[in-house]
Amino acid sequence: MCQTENAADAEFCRLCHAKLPESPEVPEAEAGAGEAPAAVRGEMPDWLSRLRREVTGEAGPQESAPLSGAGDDLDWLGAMPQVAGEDPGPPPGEVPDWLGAGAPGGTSTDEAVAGGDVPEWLAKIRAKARGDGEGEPAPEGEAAAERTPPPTPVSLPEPEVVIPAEPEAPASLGLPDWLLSARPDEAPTVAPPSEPDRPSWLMGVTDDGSGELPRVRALVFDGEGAAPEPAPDIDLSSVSAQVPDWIGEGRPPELADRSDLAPATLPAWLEAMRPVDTFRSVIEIESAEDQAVESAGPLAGLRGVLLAEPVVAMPHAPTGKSARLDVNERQYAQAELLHRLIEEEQREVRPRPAAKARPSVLRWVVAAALLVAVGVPGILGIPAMDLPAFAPRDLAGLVGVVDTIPIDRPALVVFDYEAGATGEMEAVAGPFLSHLMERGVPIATLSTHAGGSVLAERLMALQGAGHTYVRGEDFVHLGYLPGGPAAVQLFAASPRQAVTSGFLEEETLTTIWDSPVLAGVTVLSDFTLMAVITSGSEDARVWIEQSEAFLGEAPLVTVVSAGAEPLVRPYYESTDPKVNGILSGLTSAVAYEQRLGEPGLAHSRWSSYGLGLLVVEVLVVLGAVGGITTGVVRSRRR
Amino acid sequence: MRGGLGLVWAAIAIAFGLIVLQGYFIDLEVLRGVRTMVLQWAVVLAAAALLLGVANLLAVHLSKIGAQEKGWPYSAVLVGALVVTLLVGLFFGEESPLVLSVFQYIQQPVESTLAGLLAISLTLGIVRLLSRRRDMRTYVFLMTVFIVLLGTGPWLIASNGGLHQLMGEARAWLSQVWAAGAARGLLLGVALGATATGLRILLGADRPYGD
Repeated sequence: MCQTENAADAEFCRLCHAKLPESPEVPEAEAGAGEAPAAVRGEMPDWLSRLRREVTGEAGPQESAPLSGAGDDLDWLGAMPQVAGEDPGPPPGEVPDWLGAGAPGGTSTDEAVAGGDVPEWLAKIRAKARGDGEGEPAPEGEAAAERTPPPTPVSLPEPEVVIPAEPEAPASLGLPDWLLSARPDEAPTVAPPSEPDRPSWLMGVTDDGSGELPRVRALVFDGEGAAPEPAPDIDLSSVSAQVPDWIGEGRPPELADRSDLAPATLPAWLEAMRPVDTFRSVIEIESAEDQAVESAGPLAGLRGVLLAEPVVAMPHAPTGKSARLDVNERQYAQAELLHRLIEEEQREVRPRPAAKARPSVLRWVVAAALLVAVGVPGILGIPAMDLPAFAPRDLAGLVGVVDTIPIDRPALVVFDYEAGATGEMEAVAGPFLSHLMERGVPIATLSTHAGGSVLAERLMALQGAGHTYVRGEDFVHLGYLPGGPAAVQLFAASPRQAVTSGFLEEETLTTIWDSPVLAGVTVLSDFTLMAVITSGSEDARVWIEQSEAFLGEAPLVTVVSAGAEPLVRPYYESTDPKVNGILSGLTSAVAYEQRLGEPGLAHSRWSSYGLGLLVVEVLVVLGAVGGITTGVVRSRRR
Repeated sequence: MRGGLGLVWAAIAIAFGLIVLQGYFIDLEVLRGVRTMVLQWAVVLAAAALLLGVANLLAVHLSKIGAQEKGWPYSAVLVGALVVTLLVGLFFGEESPLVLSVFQYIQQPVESTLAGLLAISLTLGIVRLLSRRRDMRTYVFLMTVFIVLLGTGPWLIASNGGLHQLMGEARAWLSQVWAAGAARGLLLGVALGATATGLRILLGADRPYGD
């Protein structure tokens, strides 16, 4: 309740609307005699009753009668004083020092009041007890409540110095009416704790007499490694006397009196993490007057309810709080610059959208021009390009070699070119094979390429048609020789062991070497001639280098493409030539056919070849002019 | 253990190398037989390596097909062609007209087409050369190409004339002096490198077969 003065007949408080206690209809004199109605007496707490007895001198019974008339729900409250009343009070003169600080030496209450240690409100009560205010009207409820100090541990008067006084009107105590009216008639008297019953550890605890709220000193270090001073008002030595034996047994004896132990210290990093801002070293307990009144919920109207906010706001270790960096402007600017650099880099590596394929007109123009230049002469026969009037100088040497070789032994022709080079190689090798066939030289083919034997069959069939050359009688295929340079070395050293079965050989033959074409051939030098037809310089080099030592007197000639000529020619033009004849390119082939007088593939492709070269020359010139013009225009724009 | 095994491999390699090398200097029937046997082993191993290469090619493209990687349809075509050709060769024989037809009507035209595309690509590159890069080497390269082309093929008019013969001589000079000189340098470098490599292997300094 709010202690607002209400009318006597009011049933509810006009301010807080709390239900007011029923006021007794007895005269004030009767109330002052302690004959308050039981219902009212039952609401007075025992401590108030005891205080009243001490002030007024009313001697209560040692065993208080059970409260009656307070209702059934207050029976338990009436039973409590019975238990408390059984405790014998402290014997006179054995009040603790701290408790009797207001009356040192067991002096009288007057001395305590004179000493100024007694609070004002208590002084007034005592003064009223001495009769100062006897017969005076009770103070107003609100005023009395305002003068009521918070419950502080004060020096209670000793039992023996309490002066028994005549029953006094409640108004003389300075208490509100409702409180006085609630005083029980036979309130149990709770004797103050006697000195022997007080624990020994509490003997040294004394009140400092400052009148401040009780405080608990927090364990806060004053500095690095500085341990907090022990609380001066607690004698820890007396505590040990109350420690159970089982605790004392568990404590190491060497640590019992180790006052020289260094206090625990916090590391620097842990000290830095301590939440200083939210830490309160002293927690003050608010007085009942300062405590808020609950305004909502089932506890509405009650004062001193434990609030949830302080619990939530209690200092605690930071959980998800991130450390805040102390940066200056320069560091912040550098961090921003780094952030921008990273963003720029990520933007650079961002995949660009696939550029739309733009058709190259120039590519189509070049392709169309070349196709027309190569196709038109081959199909229409126009324009007919002039045949070379002069034969290459190398041709005479090759023709001379072929003309001088014996025809009783076969010639070994190696077909080492891929299918993609057949257009050039068949035209170049055609007159050479035709020349061999014209002379009637048996031919044995071999290849280190998987498809070389098929190409050899194709060209031999093409050239042999005009010279009645039959496979198995005039020429044979030794087939595919796998193994690269090692196989070439093996074949050069021992042909019969390197090749055991040929390509497209007759079924009547046990091995390819049983063919009449290869009769009498056991080593490489038994061949009358060795020719290498290849479009690559590497194949020509392998055959030249690996077989030269095993050829003996047999000549070695090469039929190569125009592109492979530069790398083969050194073997031909050296002082000790490893190659006895060379035939390269379509121009030499046409000249060879002219010399033989048998126009062949080279002649049929000569016009296409010539016109294609001219178109390429024109395109090169146009491209050069266009490139130079574009460069000049761009340089002028800049 | 590992070092000892490496020495064993090195000793075997050096021994076989010396056996093959002595065939160029010593003509003995016994050594010739040993050398031939070693070379036959090399040829067999090369054929086995070819089979391993085919198996590896098949595995790589099968993994591409299984993972649906970019261009996996091409891998599927390759695997299909390989399997079909292999089956045809195994059932009908490598010399059957069917296998020869596959080579004549599929492989040869395809490879010739690629060679023709190469000619078009080279021509296009020459045409664009001055648009992309203009320096002294580019001009020298273009002039060399132009002279060689003029001296190689026939002309529409005045072919076999004095100018054409002059261009023919210029082309021969470029190809047989400059190009052949460069080719000789390359061949000498290759020969020296092969000799040094062979000597290092014979001396055990290089062990390409593993330690």
